[in-house]
Parts: sequence; C-alpha cells; structure tokens
Amino acid sequence: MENQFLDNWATQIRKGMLELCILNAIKGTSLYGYDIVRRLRSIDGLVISEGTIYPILSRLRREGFVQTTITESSEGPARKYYELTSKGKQTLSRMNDYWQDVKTGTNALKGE
Amino acid sequence: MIELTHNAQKSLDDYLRQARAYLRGAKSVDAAEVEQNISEHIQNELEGAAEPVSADELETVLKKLGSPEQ
Repeated sequence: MENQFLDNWATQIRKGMLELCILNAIKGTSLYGYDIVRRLRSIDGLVISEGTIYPILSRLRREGFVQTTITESSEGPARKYYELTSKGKQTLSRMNDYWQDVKTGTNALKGE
Repeated sequence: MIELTHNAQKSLDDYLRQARAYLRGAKSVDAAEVEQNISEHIQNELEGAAEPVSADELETVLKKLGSPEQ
C-alpha cells in the first residue's frame, strides 16, 4: 500500500516536471529530439518511459513554445532540431520562477 | 537503416502500429512527428549494434521507450 502511494505520487511529480525539464534542456540551444532524451536520462527518477518525451515535444511545438528546423546531417538523414520560441522563453522563465518558489517553500516546511 | 532479423522487424512493426493507433486519438500532438521521432530514436539506440539486430536487442530499446499507450 505504501509503495503504491509512493509510486502514484512519484508518477504525478514526473508528469509535472517533464515539461519544465524539456524546456530547460532546450533553453539557449537547438537540440535534436534524441539528444533531449539523452539529456533527461541523466536525471534520476525523471524519465521512466523515454517515449513519453516525444508526444510532449510535439504538443509544446503545437502550442507555440518550441519550433523546429530541419538541418542536413553529415551522419545520415536530415534531422529536426528543437529550440524555444519567444513565447517559450517567456513561459519557461515564469515556470522556473514558480518552481523556485515551490522549492523554497517546500524546503522551509522541511526545516532546511 | 539498421538491419533487423525477421522477428525483430515484426516486433518493431507491431510497436509502431500500436503507437500510431494510440496517437491517432491524441488531438494535441502531431502523430506523424511523434512516430518519426520514435523511429529515429530506435535507430539511434541501435547504432553500432551487430546487424542484423535481434528481437531481444530491440526489446531492450522498446522497454526503455515504454509501452505504446504511454
């Protein structure tokens, strides 16, 4: 029962964090989709199913937070690169501020 | 394109077909874009593997991707 509670809670946390982490991974650069997954892999507990990143990327693009450019690759077929739009940069800044506030408040509750 | 064994190719085709079916119902995403990304992901993960890639090796990659409905 306790493990189920923890699993459910962790799942909800991951769902909320993935968008923030994807946008932060892309910030300031232009990344190939696969390279975004590789970056996020390094965060313990964040990515359980790597395939979940691609639908989120597509949704972020449709909603105007990221845009794509196709670049020819010397290593194979042309690749699609993702980068933040102006809307994406502004929204990410607000998300990061919000997350900082949540972290600060949570840490205060913990007594740190 | 990475060469797969017959069984591995069948597994891959099944996986992509299921993913396509689930994506069709997701209005907020571009199904073709997601499928393309997933296909490229699999190709990148298998790069350097001895060819033809076996069903077991492919399964390792598909497990990390997660089930199509996710």
